[in-house]
Amino acid sequence: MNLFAIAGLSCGISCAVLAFVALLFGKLKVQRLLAYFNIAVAVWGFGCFFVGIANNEAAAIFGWKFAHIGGAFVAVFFFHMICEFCGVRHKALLIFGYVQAIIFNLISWGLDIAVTKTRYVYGLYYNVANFYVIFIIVVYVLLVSLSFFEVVKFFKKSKGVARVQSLYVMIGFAVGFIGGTSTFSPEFKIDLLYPLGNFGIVIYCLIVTYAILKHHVLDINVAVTRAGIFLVVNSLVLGIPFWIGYTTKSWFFATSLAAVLATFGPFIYSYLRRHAEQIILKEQHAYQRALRELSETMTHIRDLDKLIKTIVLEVVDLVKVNFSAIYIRDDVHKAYRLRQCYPQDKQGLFPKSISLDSSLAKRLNLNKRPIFGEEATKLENIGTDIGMAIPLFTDQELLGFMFLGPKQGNRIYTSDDVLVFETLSYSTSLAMENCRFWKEIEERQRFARVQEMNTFSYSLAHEIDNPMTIIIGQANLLKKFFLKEVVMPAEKQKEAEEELGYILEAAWRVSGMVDAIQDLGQRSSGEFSLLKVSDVVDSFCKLYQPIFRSSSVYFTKEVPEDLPYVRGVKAELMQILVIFSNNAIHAMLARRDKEKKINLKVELRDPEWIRVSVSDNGYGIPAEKLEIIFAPFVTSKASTEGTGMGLYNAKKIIERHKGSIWAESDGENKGASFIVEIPVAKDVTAEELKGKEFRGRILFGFEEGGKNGK
Amino acid sequence: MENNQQLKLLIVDDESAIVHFTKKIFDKKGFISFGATDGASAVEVFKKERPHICLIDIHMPFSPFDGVETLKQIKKIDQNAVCLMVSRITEKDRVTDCRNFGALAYLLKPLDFDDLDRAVEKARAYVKTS
Repeated sequence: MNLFAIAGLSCGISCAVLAFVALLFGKLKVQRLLAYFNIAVAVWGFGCFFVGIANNEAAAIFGWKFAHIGGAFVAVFFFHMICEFCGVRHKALLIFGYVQAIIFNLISWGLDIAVTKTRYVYGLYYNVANFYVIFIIVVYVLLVSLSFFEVVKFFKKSKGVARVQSLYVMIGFAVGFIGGTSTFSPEFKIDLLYPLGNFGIVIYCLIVTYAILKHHVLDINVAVTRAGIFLVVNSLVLGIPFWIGYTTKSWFFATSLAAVLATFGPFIYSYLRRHAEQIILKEQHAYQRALRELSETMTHIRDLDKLIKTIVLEVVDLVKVNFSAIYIRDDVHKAYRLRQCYPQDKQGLFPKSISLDSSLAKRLNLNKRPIFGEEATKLENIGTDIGMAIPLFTDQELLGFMFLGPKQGNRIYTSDDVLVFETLSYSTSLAMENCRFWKEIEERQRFARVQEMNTFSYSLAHEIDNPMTIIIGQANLLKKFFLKEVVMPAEKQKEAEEELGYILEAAWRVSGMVDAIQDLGQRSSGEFSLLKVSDVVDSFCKLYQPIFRSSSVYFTKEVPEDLPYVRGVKAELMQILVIFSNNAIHAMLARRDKEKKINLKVELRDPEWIRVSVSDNGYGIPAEKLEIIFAPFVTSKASTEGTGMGLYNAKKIIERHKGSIWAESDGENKGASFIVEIPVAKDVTAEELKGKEFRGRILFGFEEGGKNGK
Repeated sequence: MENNQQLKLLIVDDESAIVHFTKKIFDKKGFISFGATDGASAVEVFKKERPHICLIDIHMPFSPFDGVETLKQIKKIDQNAVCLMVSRITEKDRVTDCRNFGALAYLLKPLDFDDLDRAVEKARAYVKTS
């Protein structure tokens, strides 16, 4: 056996193994094409082997004809694969490539005119190129050059994983082709070197295998490892007995040994496989396990913000990606809003919100599967490359999505990774739902508490009311009748009358506050009625005067007389004044140097709008925050003091009243004004006005005068 | 109706002190007033005395039945009874109930004596002389 035969044989075997692996485990078109390409090269290699061991011209010519079956197809398979890999189209050239390969083989085997003559050189019967062989070699050079041109182009513009992969493809195939092509030279009678080029093809196989293992080209590294171990174990199991049998000629012993080894073979195989996989996938397994653990613990977190923070942090930490960011659907803004991103300094790269019908959201909604790298980057304009976009789903509804950066070292996301992330996304969604559920329960509990308070304040009011009625009644009795019946100096009489006047006034004030408490408590009905803003302000003042006094706030109000009616819920409108006032009081807490002032102003801005503004001289609001303060969970107060829901609630109330709400401030430490405008009631019917005209404390009655005329 | 004829007035409230001073005030104004601190005795008094005007408190937790029921029963006895409801309760359906059962007016507690006086003066016009 000569070196040419050995080169051919090793080339044939290595390519056949690669083809086998790619065929068995490859799912994509590009992987199938890689397999076909390797089959073609393997055919070439085995052909060369036949040539190498041929001891007459006829046998060599058969070898050459066999080799050229593959040789004719190599270029076009390669070209086809590269087109697929780089995503370019050359349909006409591809058809041409396949047609010429088929025709060449028809000519070669059918007419037997392609490979006809050899010359004896290097101890081999080397084929002498005739017209047909020259033709396919020219086509071969053309297609291969074009392929490399495309790969280089692709390499230049590719980034991340694809760049590393294409580098390996380039180097591997370049070595292979330089080697393989060099074996053509003796066919043109150029005898510079012994034709060892087929060893180059073996090197190509090694490089590609390395790339598969290290850089997950084809994403079949595990498969390749398994296949490799399978081959080694089985060749030892069968090879050792055969070798012993061959050398010692004691076939009985060899066969027994083979039987014994074959029994243990599968165990050895699975043992080796397990260990090899553990080593290869050690890192991957470690973080996949950690992510699974994370998935399990996630459902115990009840606070959405904390949950999201945990996820982005852990993912970056465990998977070693460059960044991760989570967007959550926000129905108020009708968009997916950036909730959390890690590391924080990358925040600038992500848009604050992505609209509900952006192509990315639509795509995730449709596929419900992660989108990878460039595809995701292309769909949404984001300041950086995305490794993977993972949807967060429950019940067919896209709750949000997570962006992961490229893995560190530009390694690829494997299909195992995808599985783990799908699990993670599923449990994230569940955990999010869980958080919402808890929040809802909390809301409900709070609501129940409020209702309880309402009931309580109602009965409390009743309990206060009765004694107040007595106090007012008795004081009235004393003032109106008793004083007049007792004989006493006019001076004393006047004095006593005055004292009783104070009692009455105080009693009425308590009574007014009880009214206001009840008004505020009556939120549940939420039914709109005709009301005057001045009544709302009056009730509010009754309730809040004592609070202003105890916070040493100088409170003033400007309310014009005879304002038109509005439609609304008194308690809710009062609530807005309460929210505004609480904020204003808080904004002035630190103000020790100056008098604290709150001014409440009601005005008829035009015939259709009534404006109410509450102004303070507190710490003010910077211009960039004037809008955001109406969003939920925004607060300037320490976290224990406020929920950050106040102004958000006020906004909701005003939206229900079809009005508008905004804040004005000249800047920090220049005070602030909170302003609402609500529409004047239109089409007020006489029916509605009935009873409204009765001043004081008559709910209904006396509408039509005496029936039984005077 | 003759102004000089003494009008009979029934005051129903579960708080006896309220009944006490209201009675006193109206007595001084020249009415003949009766008091009751629960619904049942109010109906009894009504049957016996046939007052011209009734002032009825609605919320009476210690009475066998509340003000609305009292109103209903009084109206059953005399369709033309002039009844004024006096209460803090402002739940819409209770107010509607009172209107449906024939209350003349619904006054909100606590009442200034002047308010009450005006209401009774107005109610006078609805009293039918027997």
